[in-house]
Amino acid sequence: MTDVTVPSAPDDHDNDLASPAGNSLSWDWRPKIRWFAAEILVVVVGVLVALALNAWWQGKQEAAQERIVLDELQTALQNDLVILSTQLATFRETVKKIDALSEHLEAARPYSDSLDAYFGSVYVLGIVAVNTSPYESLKSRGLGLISNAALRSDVTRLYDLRYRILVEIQETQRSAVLGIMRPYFLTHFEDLVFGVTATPFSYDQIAGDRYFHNLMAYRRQIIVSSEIPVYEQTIAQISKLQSSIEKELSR
Amino acid sequence: MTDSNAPVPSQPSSKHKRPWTILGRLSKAVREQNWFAVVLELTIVVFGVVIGFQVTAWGQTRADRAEEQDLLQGLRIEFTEVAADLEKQVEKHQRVEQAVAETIDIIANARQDGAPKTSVADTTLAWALIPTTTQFSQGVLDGMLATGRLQLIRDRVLRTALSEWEGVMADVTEDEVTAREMVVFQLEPLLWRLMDARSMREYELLLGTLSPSKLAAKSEITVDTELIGALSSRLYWQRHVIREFTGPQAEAVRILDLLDQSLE
Repeated sequence: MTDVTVPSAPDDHDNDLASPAGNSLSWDWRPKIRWFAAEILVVVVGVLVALALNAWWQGKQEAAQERIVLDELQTALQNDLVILSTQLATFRETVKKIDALSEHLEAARPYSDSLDAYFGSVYVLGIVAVNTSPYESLKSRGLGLISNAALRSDVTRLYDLRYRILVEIQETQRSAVLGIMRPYFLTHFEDLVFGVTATPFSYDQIAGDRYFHNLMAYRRQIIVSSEIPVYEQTIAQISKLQSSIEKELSR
Repeated sequence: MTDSNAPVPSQPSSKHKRPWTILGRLSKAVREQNWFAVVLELTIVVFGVVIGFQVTAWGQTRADRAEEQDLLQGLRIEFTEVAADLEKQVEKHQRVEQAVAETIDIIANARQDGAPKTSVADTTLAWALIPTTTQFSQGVLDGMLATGRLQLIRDRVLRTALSEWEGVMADVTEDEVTAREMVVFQLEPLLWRLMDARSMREYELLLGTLSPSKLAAKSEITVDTELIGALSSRLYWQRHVIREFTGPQAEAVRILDLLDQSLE
């Protein structure tokens, strides 16, 4: 702390501080007050500079933290993208198989072992677990860590809306498959493997069973009207967010 | 500045020389037992630090206010969307209610007439079976609750309303889940036994994008007392869900009003 801001305190007044009472008659307050104010100003400026430096350093650290968080999000999103794309392809394949099986049964064609894979596809249970831990971690630190408001909004929309809808759709699917399809499959099929294979006890009975045809149509509808659109929208939103994060990281 | 009247012997020319640092002057004053100067130097440091902190606190308060306004803006956008989505969701539930009521009427009339079967429009049946649920994007509010930044909101009434919002919505969403279970576990299996429901499975029926002839298509359904009962339960519950929505709708409007009052 230097005293360079005290030009107005002349040297011949220096000793006055030591004996104010003795020189009370000749005491000139104005330079003392100026000196006093200057001294305080120096300390205040010093404290403010120190705090500003601290804030600047904190800002630098937060910027570094932001990059780490965005990197983590980017990695998690890439994994989610792969998982969801794989499941989406499975759903599209399932729809083709259900259509083919339906056509086969409508045409009253005979049973063959290869049909087991088609029966099994009706009994598909596609549950994927997206990774929300980077987002939860971000929320616990404060979403404000992401400085770009538009990017922040995109992140919350994906994790708080799109992923929730995905989970909701999966819950509906789980309820349907386990609640109403499973009992039917357990009583009419053997060698059951979810989405892979199911061998009918009596092919002829199933081929003519309206309940099974309705069940297939229902499963197909859930996949076409709920699952595929939600997966497609989620994948599109992930890709968009990935581009935004990439852009932010390259700034 | 704190030189004594008597010059220091070892530094004859120091009468007009003062140490440059506060610490130097303070130690000099202590050595010379010039307590007035000691107190004065300490006072200057204490005052300086206090003022420095006051300035920082003032800056922090301004930053908090700015952040509060930022959060309020974010909440304003979120709750505007929520209010609009709630309205859309109620409309959707009302359309489902209308479809269920229409289906019940058709089947009940057929039963009165003693007909074993009747026909219901595929679009009506498709809508009657929609198990819709409500989801919102509330990242700003969730983030505030998770990080404790809700405390930045000065309006206590608004703060309370925001912290209770999740519970307000839970009343509706839980009822929607029950409605979904009624459809998936009761109505669907029952219909699969009573009719060929394949033609009403067209997704485009709900979107209204099919050709007029397909949109007008009907499916034959067996007149069944259990089905009327299941549909009546669904109708009762559907109406209950719609009534339950009035709570969140009113609360969303109230929160928007409070947000407007808090926004500068």
